[in-house]
Amino acid sequence: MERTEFYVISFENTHSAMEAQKILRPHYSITVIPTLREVSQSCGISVMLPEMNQQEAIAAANSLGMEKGMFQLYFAKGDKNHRQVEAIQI
Amino acid sequence: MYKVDARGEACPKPVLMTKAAVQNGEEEIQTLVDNPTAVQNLSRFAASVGYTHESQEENGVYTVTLKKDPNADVQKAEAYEDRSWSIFCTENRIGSADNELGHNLINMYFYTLTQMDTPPSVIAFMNEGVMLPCENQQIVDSLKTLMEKGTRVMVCGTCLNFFGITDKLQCGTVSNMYEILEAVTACGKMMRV
Repeated sequence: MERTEFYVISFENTHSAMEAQKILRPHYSITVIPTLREVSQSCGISVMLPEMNQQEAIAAANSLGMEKGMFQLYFAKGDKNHRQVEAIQI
Repeated sequence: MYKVDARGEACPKPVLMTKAAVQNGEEEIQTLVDNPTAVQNLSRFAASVGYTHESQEENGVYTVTLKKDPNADVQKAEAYEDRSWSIFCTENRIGSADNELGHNLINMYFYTLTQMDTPPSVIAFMNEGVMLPCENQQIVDSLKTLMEKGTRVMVCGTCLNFFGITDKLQCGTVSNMYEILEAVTACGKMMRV
């Protein structure tokens, strides 16, 4: 089933994206997806978070313990043909 | 009304069965299929040979009715193109330079397939590819989504047995070399992964 609302984290480089998976996977049922077309300044690997609210998504992103600028949390809304992506400031 | 029962058949079989009826001169044909991709393919096929088409769904079974249209201009109709495609997957990653990157790529590959307008008709797993529908939860979820859209997932039974993971298969049908080759080569294109 296609999710029409989700939080997703993109990364500055591929190695951060892989490191993030190791940190998040024990705690969250994450999905590795190609970085959304709407997001340009990132590496190609992103991590989609399971269903959760914004507060929980920010907590998940902060649990990475990475420097700001190494990752970016987004909220994506709509189906693949009509998607809006909003950057969430942490 | 000539009837074609193509339930349980993967694309492009429903079109091929219906095409045989058209070639026999049947002017009213009712084809039963069980997935929306087959309905789309039949609609495009009907238009290409100058037939009207209507479809109805009941309990997951689609009835597509094709009628010869005396006013159709077949010369101007868009030729039916077999857009069906299959995937023959024999690895549990994409590429071999780095395993972690390869696993990331294959996860993203199967996720992206679920987002495509024309998903594959058949995905066949062989050799270490059979580990994916057994052990990789993200790919199992993607495969289940694809199966809902009509993709047929086939897994080599010999390979499952070799790796001792037959009881771990989470989705798809245990199959053999004959069935897999028939299904993979019946599609318009094949992609090797």
